[in-house]
Amino acid sequence: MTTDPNATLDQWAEGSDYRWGFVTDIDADTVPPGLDESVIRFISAKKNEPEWLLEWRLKAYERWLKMEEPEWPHFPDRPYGPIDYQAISYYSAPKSDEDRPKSLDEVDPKLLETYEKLGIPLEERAALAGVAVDAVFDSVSVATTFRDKLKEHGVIFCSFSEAVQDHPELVKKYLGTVVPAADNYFAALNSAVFTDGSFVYIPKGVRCPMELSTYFRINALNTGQFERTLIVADEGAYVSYLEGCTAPQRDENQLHAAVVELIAMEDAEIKYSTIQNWYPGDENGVGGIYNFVTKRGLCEGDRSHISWTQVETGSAMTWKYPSCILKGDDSIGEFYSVALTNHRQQADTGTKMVHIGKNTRSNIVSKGISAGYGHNTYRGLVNIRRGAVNARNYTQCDSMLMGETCGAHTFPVIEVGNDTAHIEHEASTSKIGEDQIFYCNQRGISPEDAVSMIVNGFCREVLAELPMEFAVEARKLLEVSLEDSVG
Amino acid sequence: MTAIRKAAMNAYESILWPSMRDESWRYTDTRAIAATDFKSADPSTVIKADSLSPFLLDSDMPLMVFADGVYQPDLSTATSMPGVQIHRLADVIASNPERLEGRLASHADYQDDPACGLSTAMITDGVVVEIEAEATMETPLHIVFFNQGTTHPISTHPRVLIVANDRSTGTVIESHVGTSEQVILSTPVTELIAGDNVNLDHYRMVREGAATWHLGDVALHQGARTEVSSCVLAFDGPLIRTRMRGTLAGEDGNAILHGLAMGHEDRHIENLLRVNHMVPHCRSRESFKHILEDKSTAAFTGRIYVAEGAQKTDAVQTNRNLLLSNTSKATARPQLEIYADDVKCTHGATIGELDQEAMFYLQARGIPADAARSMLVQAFAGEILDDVAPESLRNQAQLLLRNRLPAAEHLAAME
Repeated sequence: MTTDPNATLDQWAEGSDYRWGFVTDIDADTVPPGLDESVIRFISAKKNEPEWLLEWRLKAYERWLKMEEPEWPHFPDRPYGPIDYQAISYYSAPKSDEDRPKSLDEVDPKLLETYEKLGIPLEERAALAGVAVDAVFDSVSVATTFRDKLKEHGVIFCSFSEAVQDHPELVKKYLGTVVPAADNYFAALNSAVFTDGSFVYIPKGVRCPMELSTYFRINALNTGQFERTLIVADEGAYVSYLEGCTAPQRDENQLHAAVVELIAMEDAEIKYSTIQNWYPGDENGVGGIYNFVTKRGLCEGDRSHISWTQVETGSAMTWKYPSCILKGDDSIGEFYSVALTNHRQQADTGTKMVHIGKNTRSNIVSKGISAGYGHNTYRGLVNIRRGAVNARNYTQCDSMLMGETCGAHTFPVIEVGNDTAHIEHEASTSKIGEDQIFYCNQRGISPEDAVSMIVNGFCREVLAELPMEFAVEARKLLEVSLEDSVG
Repeated sequence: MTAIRKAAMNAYESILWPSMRDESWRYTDTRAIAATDFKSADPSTVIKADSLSPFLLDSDMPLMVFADGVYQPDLSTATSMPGVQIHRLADVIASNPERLEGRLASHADYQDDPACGLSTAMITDGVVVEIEAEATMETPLHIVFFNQGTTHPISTHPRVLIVANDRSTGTVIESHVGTSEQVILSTPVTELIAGDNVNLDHYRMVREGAATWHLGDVALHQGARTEVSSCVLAFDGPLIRTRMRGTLAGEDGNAILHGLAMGHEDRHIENLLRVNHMVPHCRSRESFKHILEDKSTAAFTGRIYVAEGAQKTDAVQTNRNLLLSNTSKATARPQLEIYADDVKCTHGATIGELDQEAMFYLQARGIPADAARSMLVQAFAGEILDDVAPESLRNQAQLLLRNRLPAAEHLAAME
């Protein structure tokens, strides 16, 4: 553990205000709040979408109207405020939509400034880290880099709207195949009103030359974000995709209902890493983002491999279950998660591993940390179908509690329909021992640093799965998020 | 009494039989039960001593026998003894119902479960055991609920209330048995209420007939410095569902909840467990094992709940499923719900076939595959059966298990 004590001190000194809470003032082209068919037609028309996509959206909307809103959180410390779907504005784009910037120079300097503050100097970061950034600023991509280099390899990496225009056949073929339009309440809503997102296609046998990355950011007041991400790795392809989020400080609950679909063909591998740091609300539970996301990967071909890694430190409320459908024989699904809740945050996260093919394997490592009045829940499913001969699953979910008012909960479901399956599930709950802190203090390490060391050690297995620069950011995030929770 | 019955009836009527979309009934199909028109048993039902004998334990164990819920005075030998009062529930309801106040139906929650709701609404008879303070029950009490049914479907609602006062010790064994093929619905509810410093053991053996749906409840409530155990051994019946709920309400309480179930043909076994740690310094151990053959299915849902302030809780829950055929199916939902930070809670679940290496080890030493397999199954079950204290009950369970395994003679010869 090599924590730079000065850097840590600086972070403590900044106090518990949300570090990245600021608002960029851009005239957004926003539709008035409310949702009906005309809004969906407006979005579709604005994006110049083909007829089939509009129909797909409308069908999803129709189904959504008939669905019941889930309301499972039962924790008294932060009641679930009903979402007024008519109060949300479903479309907001930077004004210069008609005249999209062609290069970084054309990008609104104010936007670039925002990225600077976020610690993502677009061009530098892209160049230094070898990352192509498809930055989503309020629902519409404004800059995409390294397009040429990717093109050389035949990799398609663009915003979803562009994909609809340039590669309609691919979008039509794969959209909604993993997460059907009416999969669940929030996925249906997303299918009806999604504005943009990312599209990735890696052709046969190609190993994507760089890590792909998208930064999402909620900006305009009252604009829910409905991102749609679709990643297809064709036979033998490999891609590592990073998704990171920060959001400006807001006092109203904002809804974030994204859908991510991954499809891995024969021998393909997709690695999807997330750092989620939406605004969590203040210490009294006012404000914050509702993060209700549907993420699912399909291991379509034999020997395919999908790996989800996530660090969840933000959002007032998170419901998120990145899942794998292991359809191909010998396919592998992995899920590594760190979820941290402080103040009055609630994180309800986990995964579903559905074993269909023979010799399929899945691995689940979930680490939950609760502090303050935070509640952390692991909710997962391991399902072994009758034909899934020799399926293997190992699940480990550990919880760490800090303070007397937080909660840690585990709700796994294991369904096995084949006798050759080997399933193991382990869970434990613990706290940071006083003796551990004492040991560190004795050696001149402050209680804050000791906690951050112990927490980082607790999460090590998951952080090790993250790409390097992401892992660094994740460690910092954990430290910042745990401020004031020692005691 | 009337109030309880009424409330339970209201609860039952508002829930009725839930569909499989209901979270707690997701793995149990109640459509057949809901579609059946049950009648109460004929109050003049009698059974012969012969039909009972295969299910009895030690001959000196005091007995309380019911047939289709109807008390059998000729077969019952139990009487109150010094320090231990044993009564028919019907008698207590008739003579001094105030003794049941705050006890009967106070811990088995009938509000959210149709089986318990129906059972509570239909309370008629059963057994009330009260162990006085400082008293020790010398021999275990054996309560037999024999279900034989008749030409039309009947429902029976056996009820047991055990109250163990401070510093008392006792053991109660229930057997829910039958050999008939008549359609029967049995919804036994047992409540154990332990004061402080109590040592209480409870066993429930289930060997129902081929068409007897068994939807049971066991509720425990423990005071300080108690050690209370309950063990459900499920061997026969097309559907055996047991809801077990333990509440640790006094400090330094220790709850031990065990279950062993053996499924074959197309039987379904379900265990729902909940342990509530309400106060600091309590300990609970839950271990449930399912052995599944043929097309049998099993579902386990276990929750450890630790209330705010219940510090130093030490809870361990395990659920192990052994699939002996490729058509059997098991589901495990081991859950933790924790609101205190200084606790040690773990849960583990495994589902799988027999260890191939262990099989190889035994076969390499000249033990035929059948016998090796049976030995391993016995060892698997042994972790539960070895803790069954009454010897005659343990022997009966071991014999039942062994006779269902292939190469039984081989195993017997080795012992």
